[in-house]
Amino acid sequence: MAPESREFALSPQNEFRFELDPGETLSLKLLTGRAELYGAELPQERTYTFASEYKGAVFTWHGCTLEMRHASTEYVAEETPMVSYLNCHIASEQMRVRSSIARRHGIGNQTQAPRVLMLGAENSGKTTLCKILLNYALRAGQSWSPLIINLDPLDGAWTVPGTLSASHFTSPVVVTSADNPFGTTATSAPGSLSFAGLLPLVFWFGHIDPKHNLDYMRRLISALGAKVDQHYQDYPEFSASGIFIDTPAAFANPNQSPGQSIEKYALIGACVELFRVNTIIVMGNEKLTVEMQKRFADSRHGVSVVKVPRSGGVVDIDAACRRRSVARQLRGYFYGARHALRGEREEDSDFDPEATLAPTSSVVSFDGLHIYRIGEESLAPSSALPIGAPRAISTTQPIVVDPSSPMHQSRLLNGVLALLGPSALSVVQNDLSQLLECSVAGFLVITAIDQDQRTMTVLAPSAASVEGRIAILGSIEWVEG
Amino acid sequence: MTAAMYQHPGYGQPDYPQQRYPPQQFMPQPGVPLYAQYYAYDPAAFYAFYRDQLRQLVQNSRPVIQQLTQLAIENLGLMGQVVTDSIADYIRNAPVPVKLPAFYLLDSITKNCNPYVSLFAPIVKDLFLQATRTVDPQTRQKLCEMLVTWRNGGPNQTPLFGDKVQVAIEREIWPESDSNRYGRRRHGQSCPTQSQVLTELEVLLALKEKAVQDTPYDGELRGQMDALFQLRNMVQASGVTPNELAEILTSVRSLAKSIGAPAAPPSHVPSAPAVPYGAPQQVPFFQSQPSTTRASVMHSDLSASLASLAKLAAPQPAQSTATTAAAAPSAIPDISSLFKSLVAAGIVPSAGSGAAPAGVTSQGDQKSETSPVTDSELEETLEYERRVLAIDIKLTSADLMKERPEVISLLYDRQTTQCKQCGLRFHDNAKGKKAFQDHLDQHFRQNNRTNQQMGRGYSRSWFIEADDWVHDGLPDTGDRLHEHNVSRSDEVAAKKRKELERSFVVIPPGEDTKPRFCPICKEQLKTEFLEDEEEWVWRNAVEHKSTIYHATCRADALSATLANRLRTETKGSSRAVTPEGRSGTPQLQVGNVKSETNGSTAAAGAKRKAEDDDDAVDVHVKVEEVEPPLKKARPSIN
Ligand SMILES: [Zn+2]
Ligand SMILES: [Zn+2]
Repeated sequence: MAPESREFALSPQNEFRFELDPGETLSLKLLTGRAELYGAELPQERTYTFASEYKGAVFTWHGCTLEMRHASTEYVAEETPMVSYLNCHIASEQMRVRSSIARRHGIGNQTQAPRVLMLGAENSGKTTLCKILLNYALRAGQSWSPLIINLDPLDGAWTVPGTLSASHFTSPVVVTSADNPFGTTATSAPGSLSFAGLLPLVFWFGHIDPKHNLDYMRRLISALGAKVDQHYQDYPEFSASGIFIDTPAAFANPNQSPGQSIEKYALIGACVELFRVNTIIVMGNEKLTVEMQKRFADSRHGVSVVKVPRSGGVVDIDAACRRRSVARQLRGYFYGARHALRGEREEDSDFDPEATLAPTSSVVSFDGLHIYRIGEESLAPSSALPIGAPRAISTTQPIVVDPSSPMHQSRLLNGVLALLGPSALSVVQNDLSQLLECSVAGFLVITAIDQDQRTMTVLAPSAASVEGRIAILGSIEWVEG
Repeated sequence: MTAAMYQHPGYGQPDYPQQRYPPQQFMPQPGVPLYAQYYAYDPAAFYAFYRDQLRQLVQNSRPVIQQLTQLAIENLGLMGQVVTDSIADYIRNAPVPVKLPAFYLLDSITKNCNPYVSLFAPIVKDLFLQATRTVDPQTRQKLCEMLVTWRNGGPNQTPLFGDKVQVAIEREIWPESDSNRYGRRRHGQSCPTQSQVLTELEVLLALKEKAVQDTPYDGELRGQMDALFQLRNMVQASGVTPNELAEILTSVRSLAKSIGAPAAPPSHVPSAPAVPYGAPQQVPFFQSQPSTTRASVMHSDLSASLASLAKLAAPQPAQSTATTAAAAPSAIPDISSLFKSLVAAGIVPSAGSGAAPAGVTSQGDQKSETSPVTDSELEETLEYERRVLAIDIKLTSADLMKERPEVISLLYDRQTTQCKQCGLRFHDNAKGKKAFQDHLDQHFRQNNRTNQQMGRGYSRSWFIEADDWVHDGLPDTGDRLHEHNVSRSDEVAAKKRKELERSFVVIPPGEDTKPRFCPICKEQLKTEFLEDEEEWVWRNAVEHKSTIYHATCRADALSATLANRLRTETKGSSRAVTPEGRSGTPQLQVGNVKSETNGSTAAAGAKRKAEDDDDAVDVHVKVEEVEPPLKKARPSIN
């Protein structure tokens, strides 16, 4: 017995918006006309079921009717910033086309492709705009494959929070849960549509708030920038598709930084330089737009700085909701994003590799896993330091975490660790300070510590020995749920 | 395909409803103009009145410019100087986005009412230069394009504001091109700047686009358009040498000569005058957005500009539209090597002899058979590129607010086949059909496997290492994958294999006498006694869900799964549209993984020993075999 359904008729350029509370679901079907979900065109007669506190908006350029089932907070908005967003798309599409033509004749350079930095306050719609511009590009039928770079550790993008990462896309992204707006990373299940299994480059920051350690952020941005650069140097033919960079609100709000050794807008400057940004899009902030124009629209940087309106549909996410989202993203990484939704998937006939995943739990000796943390954030009070030990450790210094120390244990237990790739081993032997620039292989959670046996129980996404590997602890915790 | 797609980037955008002041509000009524009763005899009052009218001019709006032009013409007698001052002040003080439309007004007035030329001539240089110094690069480009039209905007194709003013402005705008004035390139010395060449290209493109609108089915003309777009993009890319720039400029100017030729049988039937005032000598620059009723006006503009461009290109008398068709190939100067490469790449139709870049229309029909450009996919791409580049957009906050319905059409109407399952669209041509078929296959495979896979216990894959991402983190689509199928460095692969081979699983007590078989390759697992651990172990082994695999086999299977995902989209999907796709790098295999042609026909019996190295051994491991049901997992036990 299907729940009662309602129909909504939307005029051209209207937007159907809905917000789900925890536990709510909503089913939507396009009956007539044309509509898109964050830039991805929806087919008629297919039902999409949204959950996980999804805040969504179905927009129509042409007018449409939608069928909706289940209750939620929903309304039709007539004012949207979609005209501006579409224009941002065509401006970047022109850059792609020019770059592609130039490359075809061997006379191009990378700077012509769109390299777009999004700036704005929290909940200003940066990620949404990234996604719209991505989906529009992917609809061109030109085999574009833009690179999305997420620099916002609060936003797990396609993996868990606390990360900075980059991923290519080749088909439009439609997701139905709030947690991973761009889909999720590959699983061992045979997905095939690309958003069902991204192959990202991932770095670990380990904290939700960039201000936790701005120097660390900067190092990671450099590391990511270097790899992206290398990537396009080796394969310049892919660079025409361009890059969209999502940033944390802290970038736009430098005055709130604590007294770290980083000047105002330094991270934006680093991004502009490292990713060769040629366009900055500011989400509805006049002052920031002017400041960015002053700094980057000069002839040296040559960056176009534009302001676009914020969408009235962007919902403020409160802290509790964020916490739930972080927890769901972590759980989804190990168990599949739709784990919690199993059994509710009506009419959603596509195989969903996220439906269920099986992580493994194994026991590792204290010496079996080399754990570090980055920077001086103190696990131990000053009094616990050896006499004469310097208090000031560099903010980007890797420090050993000792699982046998009770002090450290409390942080380790339920702590989320980033397991580094095997190449990190040689880094540790050569130059420990390079450790934080190693990319991540996956995430681990220490679910139990046995002081007597000197062992830890480690939850890992899949079977593989972590013996002798290196992992980095942050401040993100696994919440059993 | 409508004519609208050829809108020139630049001027005369359609007027959109958000325009703040509906023109008719300010439109002087027929008969006695309202304003005349109050302002027509008081310069100060008229100044204020005209200044207020100018405030409508916040964007490039043809009706507003026409009204203001008409007002200016009507009041020339008593208020010509006032109008001139008012406009000059307006231009000086206008915010940057308004400067361009204000200049379009100046352009319109002076081209339609010659007496205003002498009023503006003394100040136009300073106005123009001051504006170009303050505006953004795109606007500057537009202003320079207008400047190019001034060269022959006056009577008898003379410079609109006179030779002296024109030269003075151009000398400031393109300092290096001083000796290059009017295109008589002196051998070996003059080097046009990039921006100058771009500007002239833009102007020529605008003219071509008008011609295309008149004769939309003229393939030759479209070929020229392509060539010009390519040229423009080449010039925009840095790295074009000064000599090449000079050659391109020469080509552009020679192309201009032939532009009139394809402009079709006499559609010269005069229609109602487009501009309802005076006797226009020139069509103002802002009006290059034509409509069918303006055909004749456009033509006069076109031929005039053409003639002047032709004059610039060669020291010959200007040719009329009717005679340009006869432009002899010999009159066309050397074609730049870049242009030749365009021809070689099949971008520019090689007309007849191949000597002329374009413009030899008489051979158009033959050309379509001999031309290398018979590829409809390539045409599709070129057509798309042209449509995208023809959209006039600036990356300014104000310009981003304008509605551009043609962009929506690009997203929704260009590709007519739509996937009913996910909404993605495909072209209705051979390439699109193939891509769509492959796409449906993916859906089918996914859906078909749903039941088998539920509860199968798949797991999140590890991320690839940074160095591998640099090489392999590439998109899983089309030929891009074929191109990037460069194996990760042998070093890395060898290192990984060594690590895998070193891995082991301790044999549980009581198990040590039974032979164990890797479920993937069906070979027996080797046992070994480890001195350090004092344990018997299986070497090159990994345990997953109580099943022991060869570590190498399992790793291969996992990467096969991943690669397979990549590969399935690649398989059979069409060639890249662009020429670069054809000259791609040799295709190599990633590691030793081969793609499945079809997920359901993976060779079940394929074998793979851990010891085998990187020869291309088929690893047709079906995913089901990575996680075999326990019963199947130990086929040879019991
Ligand atoms: Zn589909
Ligand atoms: Zn094996």
